[in-house]
Amino acid sequence: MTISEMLRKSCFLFVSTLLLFWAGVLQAETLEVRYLENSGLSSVLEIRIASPAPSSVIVKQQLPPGAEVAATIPTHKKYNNRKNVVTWLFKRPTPGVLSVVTRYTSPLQGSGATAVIQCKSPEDGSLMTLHVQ
Amino acid sequence: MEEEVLSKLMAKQRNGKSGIAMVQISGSALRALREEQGLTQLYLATAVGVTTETISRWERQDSPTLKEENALKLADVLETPLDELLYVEEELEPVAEITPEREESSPTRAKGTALVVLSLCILLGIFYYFSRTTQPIDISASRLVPGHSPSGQEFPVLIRVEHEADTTISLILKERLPDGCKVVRSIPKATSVDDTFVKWVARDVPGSQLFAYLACCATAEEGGRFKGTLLVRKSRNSESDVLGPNRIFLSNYHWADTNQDGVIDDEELLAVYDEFDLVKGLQLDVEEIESIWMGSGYRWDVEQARFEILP
Repeated sequence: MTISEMLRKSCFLFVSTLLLFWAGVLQAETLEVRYLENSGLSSVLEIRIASPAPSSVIVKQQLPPGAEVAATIPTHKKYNNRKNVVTWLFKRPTPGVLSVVTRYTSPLQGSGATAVIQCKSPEDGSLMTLHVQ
Repeated sequence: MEEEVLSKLMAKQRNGKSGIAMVQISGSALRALREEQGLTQLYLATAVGVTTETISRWERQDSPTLKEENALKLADVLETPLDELLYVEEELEPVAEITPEREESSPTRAKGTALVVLSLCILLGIFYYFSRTTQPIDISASRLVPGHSPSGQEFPVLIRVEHEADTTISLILKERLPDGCKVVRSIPKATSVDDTFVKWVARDVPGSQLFAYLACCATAEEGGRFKGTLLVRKSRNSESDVLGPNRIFLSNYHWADTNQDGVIDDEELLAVYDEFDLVKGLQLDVEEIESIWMGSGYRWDVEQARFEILP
């Protein structure tokens, strides 16, 4: 392998890495979600919304078997007892941090709740789906 | 012009026979004002709601008589007071008397006149050069309309106009709906609405602007199409079409239920907020869509002409 070939391949690798890095940054820019607490008597889901914010966000939280909701902050929009799914709808959210708190009647079993967050990308209108455990 | 003289002129020009107020305008003034502003006859015709032949005829005649309503529209589009357009008979103009002193200084006066004429020619030349070299504005208009809706139910139509001019622009946006459909409400408020026709004469349009209306179709014929056109003021652009979806079909499914499965799912609700809830004041019934989304589905009650939400 000649020096010029090595240089060319190094350049290609560098550019690819840079592109992947920026793609990751862009993906993370709109929404960042994580559980701050997900055991015992409550779950706290933190959603970081970047600017520009999406027009609306839907949060669906799947509860483990046997879990029963005592209260939610903010109040949920839908609660499907059969599937044990709690749903929130956030219309015109502002950039910043949003906390979604669920309190249970008895301690959570297993690995706790899981959540799916959906919104339309403010850049191109495509559907974005994030899974959190 | 003094208000008194203007009102006398208007009163004199009004034709009481038909009950329609008529006025006499000056054809040459109309042409001069239009050319001065670099407007086409098509633009003027579209704004007033007449044909280009009519504008051409008005300009050719000395003192064409037209409806006062149209004269006001002309004045509005030309951004000039109506009295600038009105025909004034010669005797109303004061005639300046030539004094002997002025006659004496005729060589100096001739020199001055020649200078003025020369300056005017240079100015006209510069104006002509710049008007000829004006580039067409890069502009586009695209429509967003649902693919279906039940008969008599309101649905939104959005037209986004985007341009790359350095400043704000003025334009005329026209939209004709399929037969059997009508405009219910428009934002910004349309300049004229006539059931299946809506027109905006818009000024100071920024780089991106939404024009929206709520419509409903009672008997939309199969294959009926929306047809929109856009005309820009003071540019060399010709009339262009509004692009995007242009058909709607009557069905028993809500317009937001894009896959017509009797359920408004998460993605469909997000699309409503993302695409259609941008225009404030359109009074789109988003609450009903949300209620359907919260339920397990819906059914269109043909007799009651409303949606029955399934728990």
